[in-house]
Amino acid sequence: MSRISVHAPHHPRKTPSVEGPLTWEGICALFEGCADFAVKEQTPPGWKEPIRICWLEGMVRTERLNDYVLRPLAACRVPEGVTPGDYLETGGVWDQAVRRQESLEETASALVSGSCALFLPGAVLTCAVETEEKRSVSQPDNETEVKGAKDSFVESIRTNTSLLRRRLRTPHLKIQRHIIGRQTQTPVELIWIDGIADPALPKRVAEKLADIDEDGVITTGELEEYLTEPRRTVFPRVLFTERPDRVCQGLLEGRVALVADGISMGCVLPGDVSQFLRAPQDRSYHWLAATALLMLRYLSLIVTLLMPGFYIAVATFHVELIPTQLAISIIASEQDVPFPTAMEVIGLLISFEILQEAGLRLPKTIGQSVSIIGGLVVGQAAVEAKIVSPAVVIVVAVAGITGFTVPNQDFSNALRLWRLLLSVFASMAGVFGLTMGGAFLVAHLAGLNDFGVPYLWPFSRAVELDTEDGPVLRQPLPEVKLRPAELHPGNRRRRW
Amino acid sequence: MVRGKFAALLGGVALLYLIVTWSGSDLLPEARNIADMKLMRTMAVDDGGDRQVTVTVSGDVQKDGPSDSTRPPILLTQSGRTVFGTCVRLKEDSEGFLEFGHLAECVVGEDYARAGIEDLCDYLERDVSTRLETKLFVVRGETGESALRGAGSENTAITDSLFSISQNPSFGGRYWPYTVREYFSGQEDNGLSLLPVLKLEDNRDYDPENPAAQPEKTVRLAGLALMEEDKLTAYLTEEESRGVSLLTGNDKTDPFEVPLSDGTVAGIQLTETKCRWEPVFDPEGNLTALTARLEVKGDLDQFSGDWSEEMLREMERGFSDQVRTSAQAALDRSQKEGADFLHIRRELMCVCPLKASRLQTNWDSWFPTLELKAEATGEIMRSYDIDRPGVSNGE
Repeated sequence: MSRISVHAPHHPRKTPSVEGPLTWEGICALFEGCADFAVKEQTPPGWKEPIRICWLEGMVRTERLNDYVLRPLAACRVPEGVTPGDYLETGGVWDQAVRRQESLEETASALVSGSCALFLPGAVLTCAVETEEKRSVSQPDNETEVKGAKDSFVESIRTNTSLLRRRLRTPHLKIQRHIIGRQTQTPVELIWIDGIADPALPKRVAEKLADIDEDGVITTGELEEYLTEPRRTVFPRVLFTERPDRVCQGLLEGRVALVADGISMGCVLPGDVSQFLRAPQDRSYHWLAATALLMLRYLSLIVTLLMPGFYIAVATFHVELIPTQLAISIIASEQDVPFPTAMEVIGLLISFEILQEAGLRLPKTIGQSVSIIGGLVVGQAAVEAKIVSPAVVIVVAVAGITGFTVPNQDFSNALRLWRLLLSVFASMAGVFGLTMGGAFLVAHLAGLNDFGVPYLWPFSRAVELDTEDGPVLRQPLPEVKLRPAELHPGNRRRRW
Repeated sequence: MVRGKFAALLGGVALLYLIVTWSGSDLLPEARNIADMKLMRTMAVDDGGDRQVTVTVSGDVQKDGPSDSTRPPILLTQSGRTVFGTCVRLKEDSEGFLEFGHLAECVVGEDYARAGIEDLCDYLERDVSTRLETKLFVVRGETGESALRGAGSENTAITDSLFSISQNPSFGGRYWPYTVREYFSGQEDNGLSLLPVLKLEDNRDYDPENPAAQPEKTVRLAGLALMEEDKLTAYLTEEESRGVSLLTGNDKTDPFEVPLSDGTVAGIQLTETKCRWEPVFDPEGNLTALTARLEVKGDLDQFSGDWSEEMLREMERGFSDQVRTSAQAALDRSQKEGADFLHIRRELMCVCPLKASRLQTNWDSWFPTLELKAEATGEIMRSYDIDRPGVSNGE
């Protein structure tokens, strides 16, 4: 945060954000010009002055307002010796969350959260009558699993925490609320298991959350970029998932989680490289099958990252490295193609990215047509017109397809970018350039460290394979007795 | 913050360096468009007279783009003082870029081989693109150039014939023991190496009216050539060459044809050969005799006579005799030439490590007078005729 304040004009957060006395006129002035601001006056029997009620339409549920607030008020008779405020606060209206408000800011905040405000003689009360219109819990769209749970996070923060609570029925599951965003006032909840997570970790995350001084938090990236440093890396450091079971898994490892209102994903942090290469179903499959798939994924990672660059390097600088028959085929396929191999590969990589992006942005049905037209028709035409060689099309297609085996989209995007970069390195200096680019990448990854957890820790030390889960080998679960030491868990043993 | 800036600076410098090197530094290999490359597959080196060498290179039949049409193989000749210099001149004179990194075979003419192939060996060893797996051949009575030109046509290149030869069972198969690497290994041990000999013969399928279809000549393997200190000194007969193969543990030799008492001939394919060297030392520790004990196994691939246990024993005896004869011929020739081209000394030093220093010192005086003997035990392991008992059926 301090870095930003050096370069940008200083705008300290105004506290309180809304000033002025808590009066009916004050609240009306505050919401002046808001079409959804509704007011009503109601005089209960025997009252000399009317009760003034206000709320924001759409944020409250009308039935609740009518049944639990207005109807009791219509029959309200305040006993002698009791103030109206005390009477309504202690059962005069049928609401479990009646609160007496003391400031204009709190009252305004309650109104935007879906409460209604009652201006009584001598007191202001708010009643929680918010609407519960929300998407129901449904199957995850992007992280489907055959043998696992079928529920996913929704936009409602309380539903999301309940999904976690239903899996982790322990009183040690702690949920700490933070409000983030000057304008959005987004509830973000920090979740951890007391006794398992490193006690310092929730504190540090809470400090980072408290430091966020932003207009609003609307997307997942806004959370990630504030929580992790340095920001000049394309690799994800926070695992975003729509699966509550993955968040629970992270919590049981000693990590912490965040859920935010309006975001149908949970995030687990700190992240490390092996976390992004594990698929949700890895723990559901037999450990040997899961290990084989995991190894396949690592192999695919290497192929997707290095194959275009390696092809450029050997075809342009080190033809002697190619097996003879393959070299003969490549030469035959490159005949009459007017562009150098490097330009062909890099051009086709960029075209592939454009095609992928176009397919994503369009509706699903049109997106498929774009893939067919772009991939098959244009690709075939380009080969026949000798603009690109079939060998290059195969290389780029294999690199693209192997990239899809990476389960995490953020990690996959990072690999796409680095694939292009490594191809540029290879086109400049062959295998030497590729090696240099690869070394630069490893050095870059090795330098990443979030909350004291090195990004490459699964590869930076010998994992105790008899007691820990390895980065490449998925151990039989009964043998995984310890939590990762790098997370500094309060209790390292998973089981006795 | 400082670390990040330092990393960015380092990255910038690295990128700048790469861009600079891209624009013409000699530190890195030069970029070539692969489409312009012409892979050279076979090289022939001959004595060009007047201290010159003549280098002829041949490519494969080239595919003309992704279609099925082909272009005739490239065949280029150039003379110069050194093999390297001549190769560079060939590159300069040709269209496109000649790539020598895929050189599979190197053929040397007899005259050049007799004068010494040291120059060629130096080139193959030191040049960054050439491979130690390149196969070496000597052309008997001809030049390498004539082999390349004679055994190639518009539709065929000599490299196809040489590839077939190296895959055929005659002297190779699973691994070809006459590559540049093995040649150097022999020279390094005692200055003696063997190279396969090619003989140029008329091609029976050659049609003068359609010269593009088949080459006029064809190459055939004709034994081994003895290279002493990089110079051709003698040719081994085919019998001796087979003995060399057997004694060096190469089980891919010509098939054995064993005449039997009933007038039929059994065809046996060698499947396994093991050679154990048994030295005899006198009480003073001098090596006096050496026995090469061969244990060979084979499959019976053809037999049309009446089957019996006695017949099997007769086949095995005949098989053993042929193996022993070939091995003895190789041993006798080695002793006659006074050249340990079988590298027996190296083998014995492994068999008797305690006598290694004495062998090293006295080998040259012991070897000419050694009593060299080959013994062979042949066994026929299986045949695939299920009606005939006595031989296991591949179980």
